[in-house]
Amino acid sequence: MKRVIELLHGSGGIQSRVLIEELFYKYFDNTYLRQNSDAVYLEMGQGRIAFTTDSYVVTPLFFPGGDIGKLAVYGTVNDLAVRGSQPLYLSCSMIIEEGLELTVLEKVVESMHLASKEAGVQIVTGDTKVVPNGKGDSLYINTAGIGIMRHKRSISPSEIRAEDDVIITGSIGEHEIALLLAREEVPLKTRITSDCAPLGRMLNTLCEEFEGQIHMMRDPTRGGLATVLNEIISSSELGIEIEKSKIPIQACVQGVCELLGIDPFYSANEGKAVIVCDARISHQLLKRLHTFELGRGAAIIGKVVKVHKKKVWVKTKLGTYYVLAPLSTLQVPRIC
Amino acid sequence: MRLGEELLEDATRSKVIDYISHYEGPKIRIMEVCGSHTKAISEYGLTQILPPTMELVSGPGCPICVTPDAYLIDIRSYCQDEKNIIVCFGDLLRLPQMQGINRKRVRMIYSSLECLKIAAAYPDKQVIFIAIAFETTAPLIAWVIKKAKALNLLNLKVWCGLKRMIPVLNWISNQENIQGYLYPGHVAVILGEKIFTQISIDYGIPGVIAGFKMDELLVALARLIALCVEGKATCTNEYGNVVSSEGNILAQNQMREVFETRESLWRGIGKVPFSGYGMKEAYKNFEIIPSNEETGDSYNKMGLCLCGLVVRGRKKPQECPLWGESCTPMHPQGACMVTVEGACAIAYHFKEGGKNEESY
Repeated sequence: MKRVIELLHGSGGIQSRVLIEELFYKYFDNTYLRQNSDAVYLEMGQGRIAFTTDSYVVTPLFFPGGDIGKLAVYGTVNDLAVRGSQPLYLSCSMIIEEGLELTVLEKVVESMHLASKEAGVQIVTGDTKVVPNGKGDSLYINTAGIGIMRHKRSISPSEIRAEDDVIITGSIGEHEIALLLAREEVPLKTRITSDCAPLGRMLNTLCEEFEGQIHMMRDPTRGGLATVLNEIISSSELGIEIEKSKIPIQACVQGVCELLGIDPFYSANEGKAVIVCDARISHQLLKRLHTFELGRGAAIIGKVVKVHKKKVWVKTKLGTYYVLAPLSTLQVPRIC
Repeated sequence: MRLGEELLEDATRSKVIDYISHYEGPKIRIMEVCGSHTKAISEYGLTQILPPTMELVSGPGCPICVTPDAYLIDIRSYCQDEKNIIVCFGDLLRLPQMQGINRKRVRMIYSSLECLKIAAAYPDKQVIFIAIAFETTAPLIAWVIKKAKALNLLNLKVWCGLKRMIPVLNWISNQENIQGYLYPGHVAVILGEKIFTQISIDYGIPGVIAGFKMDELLVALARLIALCVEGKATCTNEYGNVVSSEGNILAQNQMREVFETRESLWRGIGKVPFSGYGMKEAYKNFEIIPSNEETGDSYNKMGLCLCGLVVRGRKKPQECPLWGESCTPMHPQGACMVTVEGACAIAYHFKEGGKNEESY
C-alpha cells in the first residue's frame, strides 16, 4: 500500500519524530543535525551562535491572544531562547495565496513588526511568493533566526542529571484550546487566549544568573508538555517523575478540556518553557521566575530520576502512577 | 458542577479508598462500559488500588471500536466516487481499513453541525456524513437531519452507523460473566437512570452510573462493591448532578422524531436486534443504510487480533498476542488501538508503554 503523509506526521508527536529520523536524517545527516534540538549551535570564529527555522500554517490567521505574524516571530525567538542564546536576527519568508486582502497582509506584517520590537529582534531578510487561488491556505510564514551565545555552557539534554528538578514557567494548554475555539468548530465562548509570548529576555536573564545550573530547556509547543518531557530524556538513561497536582492549568482550560475530552498534557503552548535545573537552586530559580510577568505561574512539577528509564511517570493525587507517553494520535474532541 | 478532580475531602477519600482496597468477598468482574471511563480509570491509576478480588474489564462503549469491517468497507466504497465528499470525525481516518483512500474527498470535522455548512457550500456534490456514535451524539445528528430537511439540503446524506447502548448491554448481560457495571455516564445523561436500573434488575447485575472524575469514580467503585456485598441487583446514580431519572427528554424526542430502531452489526459481537438507529420514513431521503452483510466473520478478519473479545470484556488488551508488538498506536491493527477511547490504545498509553520500547 502506498504510504502517504498524514496530518499526524505534523503533529509534533512520535510520527513527526519518525519522519525526521527516517527520512531527513537519512539524507541530511551531520553532527549539527544530530544535536536534535530546537536550535542548532554553530561555532563561528571565536564565538558560538544558535540557528533555527520554523514554519507557521495556523488557521485562523487571527485568534484570541495573537495572530500568525506574532506567532512566527515569537515561535522562532523561543526556539533560540530555550537553547540559552539571545535572539537577534530573523528572516521572514511568506507564501501568500492569490486573493488575500492586502489589508489583512498588512495587519500581519504590522503585528510582526510589533512582535519583533517586543522580542528585541530585527527582521533582516525575507522573501515573498504568491501561489494561485486554492493552492494555499491564505498565508504561510517561515521564519529563521539567529541568536548569540553570551555564555559558554550548553543547554542540552546531555547535561541533565538524576535528581534535577523539572520546572514549567506557567499554565499549560492555552494556545491550543484558544485556537480550537477560534476555529468555531466547537460552539463554546470563553475568555481563553493564546499564551503566545517571547521568552527571550526572561530565559536569557536566568541563563546568565544561573549559569551552569540550568541544564536543559524546551518550549512545549506541538505535542505539548507530555511530548517534550519524553523528548528531554529520550536520549538518556534517565526517567522523569512528575506530580499531576503540581501542573499549573487555568480552570477554564481544564473545563474545556474535560468537556471535549482533550488532554491538556498534549496541548500546544506558545509562551512556556520547561526548565530542567540543578535541584539545589530550583527554589531560587523559581522565585526569580515569579518576578517576570511571563513566569508568574511557574511551578516545580517533578524530578529527573534514575528509574523509569526513558519514561515519564505521572503521580496522581491517589499516589498511583501512570506512564505519560509522547503524543501518538491526533487530539480530537471525543464523539462519545 | 465543579471542575477538577477533587470533590471529596482528603479524609473521606482515604476512607473510600480503604473500603475499596479491603474488599475480600468473592471475586467480582466489573465492566466499565464506556471508553471514557476506561481512559479515566487508567489516568488516575485506579486499578492500582483495587484488591485482587476485583477486576475491571472494558466494554463495547467506544463507537469506532464496535464498527465492523463490513461497514468500513462500505464507507471506503463511497470514498472512491468523485461525486462524493465524505465528512467524518478524525479517528475514523486512522483505521487500518481506511488507509489508501483518496483523502481529498474526505473532510474531518469536530462538530456534526459542520456538515450543514459543507453541504450548502458544495451543492453539486453529495456530502456524506459518516455517523458513528452512540446516544450521546445521536440527538445532535437527529437535529442536523431535521435542519437539512428544513433547509432542503438534499445533497446531504447521513451514513447511519449509529448504535444503541441498552440492547448491547442486554446482549452482554446474557453472554458474558459480569458481576457489576460501571454504567456510561454520558449516555445516561441522555437516556436517564431508569433504563439502566431495568438492566440491573432484569439480569441480576448491580450497576452504578458513574461520572468521570477521580473522586466520582472512586465513589462509584465503592458503591458498586457495596451493592455486590449486599447482593442488591439494582442501579444507583452517582452522577446525579447531570443524570436524571428520565434523562434528557428533549434529546430523546429529537431521536424519536427522526430515528427508528433496527438490527445492527457489531464488531466482535455480531448482529444485535434493535441495537442500531435508522431513519424514519419522513427522513429516508437523507439516509444511507450501511451494508449489513455479514462478511462471514463479523469479529474481524485480522487473524490474531483479539479486539472482538476485548469489546465484550472477555479479554484484556494485554492478552492479545499483537498488543504492543505488531499492534501499536503508530501501526494499529485494529480500531481499539486507534481511537483515544479504545481499550488497547489506552492500555498502551497508560501502562508500561508497550512490551517493546517504541524507539524514536
